[in-house]
Amino acid sequence: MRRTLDLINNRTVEFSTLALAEPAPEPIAEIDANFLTQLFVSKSPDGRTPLNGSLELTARCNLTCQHCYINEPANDRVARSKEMTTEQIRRIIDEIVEEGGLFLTLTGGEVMLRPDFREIYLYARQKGLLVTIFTNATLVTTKIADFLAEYPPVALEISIYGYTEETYELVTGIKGSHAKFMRGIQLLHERGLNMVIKTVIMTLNQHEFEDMKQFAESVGASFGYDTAIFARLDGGQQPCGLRVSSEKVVELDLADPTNACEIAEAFESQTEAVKSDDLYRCGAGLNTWHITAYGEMAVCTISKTVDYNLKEGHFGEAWNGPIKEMRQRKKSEVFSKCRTCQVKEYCMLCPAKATLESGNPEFHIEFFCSVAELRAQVLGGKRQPITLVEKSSLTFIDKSNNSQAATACSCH
Amino acid sequence: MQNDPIYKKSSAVVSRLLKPETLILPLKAGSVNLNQVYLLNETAGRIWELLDGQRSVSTIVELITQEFEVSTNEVEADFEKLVSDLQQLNILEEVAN
Repeated sequence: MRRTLDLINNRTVEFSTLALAEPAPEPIAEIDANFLTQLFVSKSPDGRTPLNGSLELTARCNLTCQHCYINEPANDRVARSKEMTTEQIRRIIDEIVEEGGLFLTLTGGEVMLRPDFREIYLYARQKGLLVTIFTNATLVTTKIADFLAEYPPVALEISIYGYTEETYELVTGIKGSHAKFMRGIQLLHERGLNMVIKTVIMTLNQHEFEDMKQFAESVGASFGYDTAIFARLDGGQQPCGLRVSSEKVVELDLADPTNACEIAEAFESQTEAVKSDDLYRCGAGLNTWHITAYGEMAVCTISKTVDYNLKEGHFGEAWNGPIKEMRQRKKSEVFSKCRTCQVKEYCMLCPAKATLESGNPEFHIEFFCSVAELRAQVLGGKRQPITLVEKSSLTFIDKSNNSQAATACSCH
Repeated sequence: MQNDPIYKKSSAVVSRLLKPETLILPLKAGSVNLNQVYLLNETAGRIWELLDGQRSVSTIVELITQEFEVSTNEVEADFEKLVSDLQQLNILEEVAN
């Protein structure tokens, strides 16, 4: 049978049929990511494909940040002995590519604690993965900066913990870490690497928000922040005490009008998604995944791992087995306050965060409730009371009654 | 073709098969645009695969004419255009004889 020689006969401008597609007009990370996503997803009959994932190279870190959900001591021999070997990681990367992965985030802990960091990074790039690196930049050397300049990642996302040395080291707990951070940034900036400098806003550094933002701009970096702090993977609840007030969260939302509009639109876009009976409403297990430093697999960075270890198994087997099952989980029929919440599209809580803090994926957490409530009022201009009536052993919503005798949660 | 050059892929890019297309992604700074990804359809992808620094143009053209059952003249003209496009993007290099 004669096969069509599209190269010769078809030079339409449609991307998918071009012999040589038109170069993308914008950087990959900003524009092409959408096209590539569609292209990769289109290869899967049900739209479920392991497009985007994170690979944790180590849970160890040279910093001891108070808000961190994962950090183990840098010299923790037990943690180190459990980590995947270079060869295991290379084999898993092969499997990720084989299954249709495209975007890979190398994360930690601090990825540069591993002596094979560069080898793993380059291997992933050579296999055709678009790699983002998460780092605190304190271990960046001339050698590493030169290497990254030669093989630039799609994105280099660097955490900043405070603008002043005092605040930075109050968070990290390591004397001298601020100077190392500044040195790392300098080395990367001198080589023209595109950086995203991002921070978690907490009680310890909230007063330096603008300074951190201006610092990022001064080195040509994009700036990002997050106010979501969650419990540690080992069950520790101490990070939660560092959350800023809901008023502060919304104040930051509104600080930049463009940002405020984008946030409002992002929340509004969740209106339909929150009505689903699916436990997960994000891409977890649908197009995203996470692999821990010890070879365990999960639907996202902070979710509970499934009972499958990639050290002995195969990525595809996990993706099509336990990860798929995790993704297909439905909300329980048992009453949960979140289930009846009227402003849930404004809520940052997810099953993974709820599990970390309460052990229950559907349990509400007051901090997230109060932020959602305030965001709904300020960004969405809505506030709808919910009334509950007790019936047998279960609690149901009585939508016909608007009295506020009982409340579901503060996110109503 | 009067000359019979040999071409090889630039080491500054990597490619992966995404059936039926082939994706070409940037790897190394220097000569290529790091912000752009290219997509080749099945036929162009097959040619890309054959541009291995070993096979000459005439050899590749012959293989393509056989595989796709088209005339040599048909292949040659568009083959040259494809090679020219790839060279302009600095992702294909001619190997010195």
